Amino acid sequence: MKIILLDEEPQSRLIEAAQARGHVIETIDPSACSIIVKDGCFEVFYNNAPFPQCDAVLPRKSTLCLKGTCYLLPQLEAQNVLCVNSSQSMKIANNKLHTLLLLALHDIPIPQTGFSCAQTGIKKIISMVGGDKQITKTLWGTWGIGTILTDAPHGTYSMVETLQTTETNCLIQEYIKEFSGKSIRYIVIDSKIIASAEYESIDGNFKSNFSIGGSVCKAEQKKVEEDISIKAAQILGLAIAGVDLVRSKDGPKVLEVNTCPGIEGMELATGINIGTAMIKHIERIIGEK
Amino acid sequence: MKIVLFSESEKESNKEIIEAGKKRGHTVTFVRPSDCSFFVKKNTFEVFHKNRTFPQCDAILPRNSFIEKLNAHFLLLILENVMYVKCFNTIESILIARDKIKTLQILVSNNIPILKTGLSFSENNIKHIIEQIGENQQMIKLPIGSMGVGTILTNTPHETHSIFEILQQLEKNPFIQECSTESLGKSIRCVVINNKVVASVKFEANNGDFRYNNADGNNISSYIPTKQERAIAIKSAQAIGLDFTAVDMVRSQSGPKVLELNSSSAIIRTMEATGIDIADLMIQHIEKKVGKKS
Repeated sequence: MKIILLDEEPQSRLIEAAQARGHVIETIDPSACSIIVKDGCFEVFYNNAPFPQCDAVLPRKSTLCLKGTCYLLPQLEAQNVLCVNSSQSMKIANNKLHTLLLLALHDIPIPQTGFSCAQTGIKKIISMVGGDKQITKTLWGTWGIGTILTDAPHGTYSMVETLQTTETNCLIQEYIKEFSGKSIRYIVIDSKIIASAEYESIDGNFKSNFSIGGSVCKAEQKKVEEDISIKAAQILGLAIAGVDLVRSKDGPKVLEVNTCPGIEGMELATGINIGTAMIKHIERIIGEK
Repeated sequence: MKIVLFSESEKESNKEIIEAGKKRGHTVTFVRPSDCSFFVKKNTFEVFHKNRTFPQCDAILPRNSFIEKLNAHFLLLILENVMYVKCFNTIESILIARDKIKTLQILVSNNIPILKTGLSFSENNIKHIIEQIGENQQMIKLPIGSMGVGTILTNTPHETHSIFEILQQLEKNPFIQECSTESLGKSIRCVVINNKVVASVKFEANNGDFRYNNADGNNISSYIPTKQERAIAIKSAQAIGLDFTAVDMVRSQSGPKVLELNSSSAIIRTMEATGIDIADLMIQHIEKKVGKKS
């Protein structure tokens, strides 16, 4: 099988996993691609040569669905290339507001969340979310960037208002004090729980992301959280997902869902080979074709 | 029936639609997306307009491109899914039509003719796509923009390259299209409502401009489309999923080619040129879909 990793840099863990299972794997930088339409046909190029033939594309960069490269995955899909995850599911999961709304529409617990399209509604939303402290979050952003802890109401108000003037809007969310600086991540592949880990900040930060220095250890798996994680991945249509949740006093709540969850920290903490699980999933889909 | 016209601008076309709705006995409220907000607690949703509960309504007409910029499409998503309000056009189709590249991708997948088009994501590929499109004169376009803003005509590959590069660095996602010289400054428009072409016009720039839809003046006149043009217009509207749309096409040597679809086009001048009451037809379509007369 030939697999293409769409990423700026080769990811050694995934490459090892694919090669160990006897597959050819190539890393392609999405920004080196281009698209031409001529005589009613689309053609995708990589470094000005035709995009290589392959059985599956593994988009491994969440920003693929932002900026110019957002047009690449739908194009490959239109040409019947298998993309795991699909462009549509990645697009939704990359927008935190869209994700939370879809989850809430399907009865998945999320933190209380408000959003004001412009200045008119900010004050009201802040009071509805309540609490002394609140989380303001930009709709895009990975590795914890774009998440701000603010004091309600004035700190939140000035933050949201300022961001809106720079054409960046954000959502306002309840701050879950009892689980501050921590989060649980479940890796879901093909509607099954593969691994889970607990992240904790080590320097008093309210963010726990591994990429900004959070510690990671194996998490105690809870049935209710597993069910929520699997359902969340299904609602968004993600074959591969990292579902982040917090344990609040009212039970687990989903914060966001990652389409390209980092696997290194998770593999170290759990000893589970997540890269292999991803490759096996692709094998299964190709086998079914 | 209660209709909400959802727009930031009180431009003439919107007033015309509000009037048409009132004439047919409906209540039409004008709501600005920027006055809206929403709150989610567990699985309950509350939507606000000017900090009060969003008005009860049977249908929403989202009428401008600010909707995505303001993230107001999420508000519509809630109204559609929780309050079962129907949007005309649907948010999904509006978001596609707003992006010319997305639109073209879907049109091609549906075998609808478009101009030769090239898209590159970094400076290393610009030369290649310019060569692939061929010819000296080319068009550079931006995926988002109306009234001809965001369309540039270039005369040499070097010119194309340098302009494209700048727009790419500014992260504006430019794309290149062949320029069909025989139709520079000209285009035809078919207004499609509910899969029927209800009115057609042709545009001609009157001051030598290459853009048929420049804001500072073009000639518009009634036009009878060919059978092929009608069929393409209808197929395009269906492919994008638009209830109402204005499909813009150029007539090239190799037949009509679709340029773009407008999800909330200005209707006044088309109504004047053709004598067809497009606003009234839009309201009639909503009545049919919602199943309420007044």
